[in-house]
Amino acid sequence: MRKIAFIVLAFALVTSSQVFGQASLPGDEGGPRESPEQRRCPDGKIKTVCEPHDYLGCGDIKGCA
Amino acid sequence: MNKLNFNIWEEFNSSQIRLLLLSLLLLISCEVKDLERRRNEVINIEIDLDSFKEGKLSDLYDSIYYVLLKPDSINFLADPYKVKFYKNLIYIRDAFHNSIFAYDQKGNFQYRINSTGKGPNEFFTMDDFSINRDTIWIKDGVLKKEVAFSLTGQFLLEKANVFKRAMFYKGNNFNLYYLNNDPEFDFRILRKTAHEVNPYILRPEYLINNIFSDPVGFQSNKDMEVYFNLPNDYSVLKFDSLGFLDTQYVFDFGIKNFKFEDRFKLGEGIDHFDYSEENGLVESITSFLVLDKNYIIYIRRNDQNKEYILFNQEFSQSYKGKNLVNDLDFTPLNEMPWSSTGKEVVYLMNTSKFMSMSNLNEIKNKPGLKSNLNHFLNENSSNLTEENFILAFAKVKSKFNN
Repeated sequence: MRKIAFIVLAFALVTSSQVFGQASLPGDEGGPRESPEQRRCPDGKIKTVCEPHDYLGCGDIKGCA
Repeated sequence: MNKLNFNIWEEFNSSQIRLLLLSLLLLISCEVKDLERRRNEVINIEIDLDSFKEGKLSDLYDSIYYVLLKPDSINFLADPYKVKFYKNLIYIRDAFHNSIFAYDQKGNFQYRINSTGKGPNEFFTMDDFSINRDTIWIKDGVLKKEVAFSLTGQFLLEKANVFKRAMFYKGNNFNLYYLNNDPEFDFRILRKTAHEVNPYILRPEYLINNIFSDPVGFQSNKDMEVYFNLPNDYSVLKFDSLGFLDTQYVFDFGIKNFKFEDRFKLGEGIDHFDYSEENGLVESITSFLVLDKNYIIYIRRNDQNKEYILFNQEFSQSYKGKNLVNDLDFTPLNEMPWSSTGKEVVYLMNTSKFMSMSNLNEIKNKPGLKSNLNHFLNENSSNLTEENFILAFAKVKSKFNN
């Protein structure tokens, strides 16, 4: 029994390094970001839009050429 | 109480100890090997744009096939963005409607997954969508949730999702996120499972709050490895099938690099554009697509040069050319490569631009066109005069698939 306990302990020590290396997530704070969003146009140029349209109600501020 | 005096040397004989130590050594070495495999290797690839010669579409493609995305009476695309192909259907995220439109391979409308509201089993906005194991996942950064639908558009389930607007990829038991340089995070990419979080690519200060929505986003190949063209950068990231960062391919354009610090100092105004145009600088990799046996990169520079580079699976350049002339059917197919089916590079264009081609009547009667242009024009004459959208499928030359 003690042999098994020792092996389990050794295994836990070896694998614990992965756990210590993990990052944690910041808290769930704040609402949706209200920054303009850059998008590609079909020709590859970039347009800047305010998104989501319905949320901010500002629509395109610089459209595709 | 005596039993608590645990001495391993008394409990195990010498051969057992040797066996135990050997097992531990094996376990440690396996883990080291595993970590090595996830070593975040950086590979630099030098590209000399000055050595590129003018080329033709036939250098890359065998033929072109046009498909009109046909509207029905109430379902019409307004701002088609991400285009994905899955099990014989075409899925398109419409950024204006916050909806997914599904079409068959001939462009016939099948169904639509709509943004209906902020209540249970609904989504309000769509940052991105991902299809995994016959399930369509929609991420809503406003309502902080992800909503799942079947391939026939039926609601399946919803889950909380803490992330704000992000591009995302739904893998088997993991998610990948591009976090849009959210200041709450020090990193640009996250891999997340139910039990762990792995951050990748440190976010530079000058990118804070820079939000970029790429029409391609995360892509996977047949081996379920995942690729991502990092916005505002010259890097393509490769993740293994478990979602761990495997390789960062960094493209170096030499004197055509636009130093990141410089571009953000110049802002987004005319100074930025002029500086970039005058010096023929590369802003970023405009499009990176994963094909079955190749990768394709398209670069659109502000000085109007447009370069194509085809890489084989070892990331060696198998073709490079600039300003490709369409010698397959002579339409001005000069849009950016928008999506991929694996065998074809897919372009998106609207009908008004397509029909405004001055030479359309002249070229449609030319013999030997390597496309379905004539049939396409005859079959869709009524819909082509209205504001609709076309997908052009350019088939990659078979010599590149060997």
